[in-house]
Amino acid sequence: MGVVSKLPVYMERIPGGGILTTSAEKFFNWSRASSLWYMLFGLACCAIEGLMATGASRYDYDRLGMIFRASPRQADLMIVAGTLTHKMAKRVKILYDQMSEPKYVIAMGGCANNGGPFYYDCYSVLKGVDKIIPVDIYIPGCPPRPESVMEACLKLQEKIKKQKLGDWSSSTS
Amino acid sequence: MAIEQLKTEEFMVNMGPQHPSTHGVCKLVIKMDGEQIKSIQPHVGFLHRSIEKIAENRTYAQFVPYTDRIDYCASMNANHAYVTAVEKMAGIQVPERAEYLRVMMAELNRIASHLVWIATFAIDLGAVTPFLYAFRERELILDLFEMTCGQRLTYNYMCIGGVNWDIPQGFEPKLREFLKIFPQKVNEYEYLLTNNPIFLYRTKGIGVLDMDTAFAYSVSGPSIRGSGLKWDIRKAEPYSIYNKFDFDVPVGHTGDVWDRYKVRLNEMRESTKIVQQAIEGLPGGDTKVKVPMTWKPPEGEVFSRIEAPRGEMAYHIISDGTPKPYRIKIRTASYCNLQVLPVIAVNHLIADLVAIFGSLDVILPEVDR
Amino acid sequence: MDSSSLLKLLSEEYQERVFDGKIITDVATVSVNPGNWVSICHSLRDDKSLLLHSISNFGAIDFREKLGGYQIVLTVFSHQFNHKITIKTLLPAKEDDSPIVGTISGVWPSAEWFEREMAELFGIIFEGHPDPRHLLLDDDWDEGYPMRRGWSGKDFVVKPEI
Repeated sequence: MGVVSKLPVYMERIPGGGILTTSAEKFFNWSRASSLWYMLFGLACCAIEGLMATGASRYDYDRLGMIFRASPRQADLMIVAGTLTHKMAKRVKILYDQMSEPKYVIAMGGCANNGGPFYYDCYSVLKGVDKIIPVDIYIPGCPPRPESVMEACLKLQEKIKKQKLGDWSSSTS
Repeated sequence: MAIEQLKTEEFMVNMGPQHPSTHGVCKLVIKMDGEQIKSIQPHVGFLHRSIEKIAENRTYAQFVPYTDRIDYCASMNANHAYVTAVEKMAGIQVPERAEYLRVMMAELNRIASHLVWIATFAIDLGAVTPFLYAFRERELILDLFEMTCGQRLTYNYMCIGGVNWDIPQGFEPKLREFLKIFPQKVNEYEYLLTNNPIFLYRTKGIGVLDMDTAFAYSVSGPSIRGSGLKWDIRKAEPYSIYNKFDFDVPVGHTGDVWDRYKVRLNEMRESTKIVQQAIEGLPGGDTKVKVPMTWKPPEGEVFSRIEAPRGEMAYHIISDGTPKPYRIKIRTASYCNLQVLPVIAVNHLIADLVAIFGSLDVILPEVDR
Repeated sequence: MDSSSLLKLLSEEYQERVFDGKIITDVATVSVNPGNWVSICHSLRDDKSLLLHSISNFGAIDFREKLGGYQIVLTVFSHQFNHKITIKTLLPAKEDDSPIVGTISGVWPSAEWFEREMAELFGIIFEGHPDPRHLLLDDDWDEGYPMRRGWSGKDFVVKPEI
């Protein structure tokens, strides 16, 4: 992100540079929002709905420019689909760290939001994925319907389109 | 130079926990000699949700939704296993209509589960098209489930004493339409895969599971039927009303990956037959007997098992006479089926491991519970 | 073989080692002493008239309050004869004791994981187990044995009564 994050600083010095920054911003945001590559990473029940059924014939992620990548290095989006246990939490953190910036996280389903049905009387489940990684969008449901997963992706696209060029500079420095 | 001198040292490969072909979160530590597998050590428990601990602090009725989440590809069958166990313990007689509905839903779910299996298995072997085909039909089944109970994956449909809801209006024509088109769709999958040279090359003679190994590791379900044993709990110990239906138990011959694939395909055809008979013979009447919310079963214990899509699913329930079970031990098919993987995958190439793992149809939440 | 004749055969053939035979929801059930656990499993598997070569279920129950120990329950069955039996043994244990019993993973290989699971969740030690690592819990788990009754841990919330 080196050059991109410094771009606004240099641009502002040129008279009329603000226009260029805005256009660059728009271009970057547009390209990021319309090619959200998600990581093929399912944990539990939600993986069948959020990753497979939504990716398959009827709902079709491809319409949103989303394709699955098996490697975290190529992915922009992590859909945490399912129950996150203490044992898995360490691995999820590593996977998140391996993704390259800018990266986004969708917490799908009750378990990923706050433990869901496994909140009480459960010794092995992490109560919410937001305890270890930052989350952009939460989807309620057990499991959520594919429509709500797609809605979440659209919401995420809206969010990306509002980003400023300098937004990522602090996190990467 | 002699071949022995060219030998390099063995090395370890970590497969998972995040790996597209592990169908969930499972880690395989593989010791390799070149491309050849020397030993495999499965690491499980990444999805251990302590369902058995939760059971100790839930009433019998409250635990039903948790059974859905043990095997999310076949929630109806998991429901069925639990409610039959509780009813057997308490001696509850379920209305006949409810039994018919249960069998119908369980068999539809078996088809849906096998469709997910075909889809993922084909992807594992590099064929993406069957995935789209299989999910097309799976959506039709999920539509039927959604009409009945409002959920697409975790149904909570069966309850102690019957089923929660009767089938709605419009269900029957939709089901009949599905039953009419589905056998042709199975032929379509066969057309795509069964005699495909690449598919045959990847599956024939790979991962042969002989009968003695299967017995020793308590393998069950389509995996043992692929080895040629005609063993199905629906036939051997008919539970519910399975003895009223006419269906066949498909078996393989050699026990390789291809046989297990073929058994599952034929099982879908047989399940279609059962659903057809169930809808034809569906009697009228009540769908459940009234069981109060804070219902107390008598003190005692029960061991009951059913045939889930992946094999034998058993519940061992111990009741101390309170509304909550004292202990529930769940035996799942994948738990035992996964243990056989290190035995049958040794000396295969690493690319075949994916095929063998896929053919056992292991679903990780069932292993971890 | 049906359950009652199976039970009769068991209590006659192995009368010095098994006791308390009964039929619990159509499964023939016998108890053995922990000392005889491995030997009875060996004899049952090798008995040509039973052919019990597959495990159906194998689990432990915390009966410390009621019976003063952990009960391990094993259900084995035969595909050929289509019958199954349950064998139980009570491992005496007080408060935080870890009872010891022999492993049967040499008898039925699939018992290996069941035993690993019981060892980590209940704290039962299976002597001679080939691979006594954790199965379901993380390797660095240090909060004791969660499936014991009355266990509590730092992230463990008990569901409040409504």
